[in-house]
Formats: sequence, C-alpha cells, structure tokens
Amino acid sequence: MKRRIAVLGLAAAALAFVAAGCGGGGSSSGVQGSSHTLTKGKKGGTITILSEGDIDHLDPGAAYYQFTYAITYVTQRPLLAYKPDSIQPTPDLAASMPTVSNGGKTVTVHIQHGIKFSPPVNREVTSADVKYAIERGFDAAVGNGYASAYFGVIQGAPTKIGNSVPNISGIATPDKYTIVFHLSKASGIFVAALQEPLTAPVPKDYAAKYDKGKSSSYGDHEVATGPYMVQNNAAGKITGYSPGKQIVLVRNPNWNPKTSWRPAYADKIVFKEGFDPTVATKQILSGQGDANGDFPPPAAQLKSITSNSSEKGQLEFTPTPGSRFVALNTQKAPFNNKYVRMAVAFILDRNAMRLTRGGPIDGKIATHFISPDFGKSGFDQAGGFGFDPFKTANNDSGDVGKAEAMLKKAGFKSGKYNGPQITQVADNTSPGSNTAAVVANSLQKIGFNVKTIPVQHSAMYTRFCGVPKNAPNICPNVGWISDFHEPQADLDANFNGKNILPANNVNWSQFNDPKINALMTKAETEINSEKRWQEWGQIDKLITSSAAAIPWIWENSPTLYSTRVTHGTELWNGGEPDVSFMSVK
Amino acid sequence: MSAIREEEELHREGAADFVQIEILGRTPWQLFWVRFKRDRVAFAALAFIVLLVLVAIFAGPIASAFGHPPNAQFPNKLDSFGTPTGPSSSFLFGVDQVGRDVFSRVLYGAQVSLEIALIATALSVTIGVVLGMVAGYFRGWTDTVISRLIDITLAFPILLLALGIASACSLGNGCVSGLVKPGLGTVIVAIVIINWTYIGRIIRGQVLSLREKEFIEAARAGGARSRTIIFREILPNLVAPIVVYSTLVIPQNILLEAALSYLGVGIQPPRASWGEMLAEATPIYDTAWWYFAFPGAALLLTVLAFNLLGDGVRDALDPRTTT
Repeated sequence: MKRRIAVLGLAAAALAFVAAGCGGGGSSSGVQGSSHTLTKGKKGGTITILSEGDIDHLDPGAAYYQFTYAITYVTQRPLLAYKPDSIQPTPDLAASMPTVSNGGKTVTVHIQHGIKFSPPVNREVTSADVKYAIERGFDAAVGNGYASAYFGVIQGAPTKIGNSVPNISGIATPDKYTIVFHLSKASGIFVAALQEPLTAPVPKDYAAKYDKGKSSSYGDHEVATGPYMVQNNAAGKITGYSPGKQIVLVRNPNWNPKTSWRPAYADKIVFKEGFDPTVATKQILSGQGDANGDFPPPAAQLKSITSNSSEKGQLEFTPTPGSRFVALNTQKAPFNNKYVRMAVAFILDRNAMRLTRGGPIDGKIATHFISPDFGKSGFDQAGGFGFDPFKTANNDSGDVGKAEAMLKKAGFKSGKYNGPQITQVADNTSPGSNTAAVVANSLQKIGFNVKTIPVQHSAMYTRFCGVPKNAPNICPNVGWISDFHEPQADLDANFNGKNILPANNVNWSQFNDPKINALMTKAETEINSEKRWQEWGQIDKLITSSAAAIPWIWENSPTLYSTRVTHGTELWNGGEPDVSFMSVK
Repeated sequence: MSAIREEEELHREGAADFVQIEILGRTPWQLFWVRFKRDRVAFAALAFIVLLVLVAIFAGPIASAFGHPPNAQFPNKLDSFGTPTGPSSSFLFGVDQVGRDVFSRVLYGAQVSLEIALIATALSVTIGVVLGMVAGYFRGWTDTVISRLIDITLAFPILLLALGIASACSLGNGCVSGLVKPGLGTVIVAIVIINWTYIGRIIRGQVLSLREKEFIEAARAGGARSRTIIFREILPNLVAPIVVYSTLVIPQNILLEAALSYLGVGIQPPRASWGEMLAEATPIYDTAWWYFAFPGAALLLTVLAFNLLGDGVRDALDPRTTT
C-alpha cells in the first residue's frame, strides 16, 4: 500500500492524506550510495517502470497523487519545478525566478519564449494559458485538491471550488510572456506553490470544450509541454493510457531541449501497472523492469538486497518531507488532558514501531514534525536532531517511570490509567496493523485498555479519523508529506485549529490551541524566508511538546534500479524515479 | 466388555470359532463403538482431537510453562530490519512480526478453531435439522418455502456471502443495531447462515421416506400430534445422519473461519487465530517460514483429524459403505 495516495497538500481535499505507507518524497539532498549523476547519460532506449496501482488523473489540473507527479512533471511544465538534486524550486516554464514586490502582495513571473504545445495544438505557450490553467482548477469539473489552499490567496479567487471556470481578477497578463499575481495578503509560500502542476499551461482554445460539463475530459485529450507526452492520435485523443494497465510516454516533438534542464535521455517510457510489490521487485532485479513506481520494495527484500554486495548499489534512498505520527484526540477524555498525552509520548515504543516498517533502513525515529530533509528551511530551526522532548534513555523504546510521572500529574494517583477503555481505528493490513499492535501494547504498560478497530486504510481516514464526530481516541496510522519544502505545508493543515472540518478533516488530533493558531497565522504572511522558517521551527517545538500527536518516523523512500539503468534519480517529492533523468544502457 | 472382545476375535479368527461363542444382544451404539475402534486411523484422529481440546482448554498454563503470554511483544526478538527470528529454546515456534510468541499464539488459536467448530456446527445443525424435518414432514407449501430458501442460500457464492456479512458487521458498532458485532460472533453467524442448508436438505430427504413408514402411520393412527411424531418418532431415526454430517461439517467450518480471518473479517486482533496468522505470514514467507508453517500445520492436522474422524464415524454407523 505504500504511497498509494501520496502527494499531500494543505487542501482539505478528498485525497489529502498519506496512504498506509506513503513513502513520500525526497529532496534527494540525501541520495545515498550513488554513482548516479544527473548528466552524461546515453540517448535512446526504452525505460520500464513497474507499479502496483494506477495514477489518479492525467489532467495536470486534477493530478494530486505523488505517483502521478512522476508523469506530470515530465510531460508538463509548471512555472517552477524541482531538479532532482535540490529542494529549492527552479524556473521551468518561467524564464527566471519570480519577483516579489509590494510587501509580498505582488508576484511577477516571466515565461520563456518559444515553448510550444505538443500536437495537435502546436502553438506557442502564452501567459494566458497559465492563467486559464489556474482558473480551471477552481472549477469542480477539474476539482483541484489544493487550489484553495495555495492559490486562494490571489485577489478575486473563489473561496471554494465552484461549478464553472471563474475569471480571477488577481491574475493579470500584461503581455504574452508576463503573468502577475495580485495577492489579498502576503503569503510566505506562494512562490514555492508555483511549482505545483496546476501552473502548467492549458490551452483554453483547445481545452474549453473538454472542460464543459460535470467532469472535465481534458485528461483524455491533454497536450504536453515537457520532453515527453502521453501517446496520442492525430486528433489529440490519448491512446497511450489504459487505466490500471499501462501508460506509454513518447517524445514530444515540439519540445526544445535548449529551453529545459531536463536531459530526457530515453526515447520511450512505459509505466506498467498492477504488479504485486514482491513480484515487481524480483522482476527489477532480473532486469524485466527498470525501477519501482508507486511502491517500495518490501522490507524482506530490502534486507536481502542490502546484504547482497552486487545488488546493493541498485538501491537508493531518498528522505521524505514529512513524518508519520500517532494522533491523539485532544477534544475528548482522556487525551484532552495534556499530561495524559505526554504520558503516551513517553511510553510509546518508537523503536518497535519503526521495526514494523523495516527498522533503521526505513528512516530515522522522528522526534518532532519537520523532517531532516528540510535542512535549514525549518528542520534546524526546530532544533534539528537535538530536539526530543520525550527522550527516553533506552533508544526511544518507552519509559514507564516517566510516563507514570505524567499520569500522576494528570491526577491518576497510582501512576496507572484507570479510566474507561479507549479506542483506536487502525489499518487492517500490515505494516499499519502491526504498528497499531505496538501502540496498543505500549499503552497497556501504563494501564490503558485499548480496543483496536481494524478497517481499510482509506476508510480509516474517510469514515473515522477524518470525521471528528466519529473520531476514535487514537489514530495510529496517520502521516503527512508536504507538497514542498516549506514548513507551513508541513504543519498548518494538521495542527491549525481553523482547519478542523466536519469531513475530510486532516487535523486528526483536532488540535485547537489559540496561542499556536495565532503564531501560525502570523508566520503564514512572513515573506522573509529566514524569519519565516524561524517562526515555523518554534511552532513545531510547541506542537511537539503539546503531544497532540506523537511523531515516530521520518521515512526514507527506496528506489530500486535495474542493472540496465546507468543514471537514475528520484523525483524531488514522492520517491518516484524522475524518468527525465534516467538513462539505460 | 467381554462381548466386544469376543466379536473382535470373531472377525479376526473367522467363522471356524463361531460355535464356541455365546451370542449376546448388543445395542446399535455398542456395535458402533466396536466397529469404530477397529478403524485405527479414525481412532488416532479422535485421540488427536482429544489432545487438541485439552491444549485449547489449558492454553494458558501450557503457554506460561513453555512460552510467553500470547499478546506480549518482544521487539528485541526482531532483527534490525524488523524481520522475526526463528525457533529457539525460549520461543519454540519463533516470533511473529511484532515479536509475539508464535507457540503461544498457535495454542490460543486452537481455542478459536474449536469454539467455531462447536458453536457454529451445533447451531447450523440444529437449525438445519428442525427446518429439514418440518419441510419433509409437512410437505406442501411449507416444504416449498423452506426448499426454495435452501436453494437461494445455496446459490450464493459462499465465501463472498460470508465475506459480505462479516465485513458489513465488522465496522464500528456492528449491524442489526449492535446485535452482530465484529469478531467471533459475526463469524459464527456468517457460517451458520450458510451451513444449515446442507443438513436441512439431507434431513428433508430422509424424512420424506421415513414419514411413509408403518410406525409413523401407526403413531398417526393412534392420534399423536405432529410435534410428537416429529420429535419422538422421526428424530431418533435421524441420529446417524446427524452425527455423520456434524463430524464432516466441523472441518469445513474451521476452514471457513480461517478463510474469513485470513481475509481480515474474522477474528479481531490482538486475539490469535490460525487464519489471521497465515494472512500475516504470507508476505514474509521467505524470511519467516515458522510463522506460516506452525499455524498452517496446526490447521492442516486439525482439519485432517476431523475429516478422518468423520469418515470413521460414517463407516461405523453405516456398514454398507464400509470398505
């Protein structure tokens, strides 16, 4: 199940959650063990990527699943994008980085000249195509998952997704190559959000007819701007996508390598879907596939690969920009009491929890929320590896004495919880079910009687943890991967009290601390990045210390390459291989 | 006792000694026991089942003497990749993926299997026998209704139906306003709904011929009421098929429970069940063979034992089919 639904957004949209095993993305700042370099690959050949499941939408305006982005970023050119070796956005469709003026309320972007849409459109991309692309994201027919969260700050933008394509007055196109965003207030993350696929141009003259009706069919007819395009026929109808089976990418004849930093070595890329992870891993090792798509190789195979000297080099790990955590329901007893929550934070055997996902190879034990690959943009400010308010002497395996001291403070004189049974809603499949078993077992040590209700991972979110009126005391299998490396994208949705929703809620702890809410509101508008990261670092410390949720792992995302692959690297976010940088012998 | 021994000798040594033996009257059950004891395979199966029952009853003391509590976790028994370690002197059957003692969990799993075997089988046999007798005795529209109900139930894909019932009632507070809750109860209901039909059909067929027999006619002529005839006259004549069928349906029910638990809609964690253990063991079969081997062997031997016992009972009760 790993990474079934993965790129996560601030938006409280239907898909905004981490799946059972979302591995997520990597800034590749930490690509390990690699002789792979970004350039000097060999032109030509076909790359085959093996996947367990399917993408969510081909349409760049609707795509919101991490695995889909592996296709979106090589077929579409948003204003900005991430090179696989950097967590800082780089101009892609844009000619240069955006300029911010007027106290952060005006953002101006110039786009490159001479970039053309793929056949059958064939004309040059203009700033109006970007404006239309963003506007259609606010139409329910497209149903973008993060438009309100990141682009709702534009003047005149609808507050909610509507039933038609709005004209957003705050997006101006003074000439063919300039687009100006007028914001209603300063936003610290607006520039970073310009790398979302929603900013990839969509030709209105061609797409408008497909955008009509209840559900846009532009995805079945989409045109590309990137080095590759999904195979289509002369009329523009997509022929290279069989849902659940395969996706075929071919070269985009209108792509000019001089305008792009993507080397795009291979001539053709085939995404084959519907594989069992164990089988697919074996096929990659035997050369029948070139890399894993939406799933990580199972822990048992990671173990055998890392202990095999000839296969070890085929494996790469990328850290993910997020964490997994155990959410405690702060709105009802017993976890409305801070000290009871802190007792849980001290007793959880985070080491055993990590073992349920493969042990140290899967990542570092998380001691707060902003993950190490944020580096100096938030992680260091939150205290880095040194900040661990619930440290125990035994390798994070839980401390009964410290936990009991907290329970005594909460009024349980014996140091053991003796209130009524509590409930957790957990995954019904491993590894999530195992993690939940460890949580229940840890809590038992300090007197809790935990009833576990196992359900499907998606039902855990949509029926229980994401619906406050049905929320159990504990959600042990939640997690979050931020859309980009801004701490706001990591913390705001999960812990800002204003984000508690009656359904599709992602503030799973229902944490609503007026003091912390106010700090977040202030930090959201800070356009000085150093100051902003400093503020969010402090917010991370406060949230972690409140024990509203207990983070337990900062995960790595493993990618296995076949021996044919001479160059390969993971996409900045998602841990999917960036096929525009891969080359085969 | 002497009579039984003599009959054995009679069979072993042949007709030549016949003249020396005094002829004794024996009840059908004595005959059954004599024949059954002669079936060594069935007798061994019975011995295994008795042992299994004892193990299930005394799972607690056995686990604390030779193992650990079934839900205690020992993460230090996992290697640095979270892979469980195999059999050792303190963990006879190795540990599972969260470091629990597989030995203890196999013992406790026997409880689940036997509970299912007894409760679900008893319920489905009771329902099947009563409805089968009613249908066969009254015939007419009663028979039509019950027989069509059986046909419809049999037309359902069994496993899918059970899966549906079990999963519909496994969420939150269960279904039928909390009457059917996740866990053992749900599994039993699912199994009973399916399994009463087989015995119902067999019993109906038997009753259809029994009701024409002279002794029934005599009872009817004597003014006995239908209820009295069904339970006093017909039921005693159905004991043999009921016993045979029950022993044959027990292993089916154990397997069905295992299948449901394997699919995640049966026994709820952390309670151990063989089916659930097999499901958890499947993804790691190549690194932790002990995790599927021991519960798998337990399931196999138990089902085999009940099947062999059932065969033995059938042979002993119905000599015509003896090979």
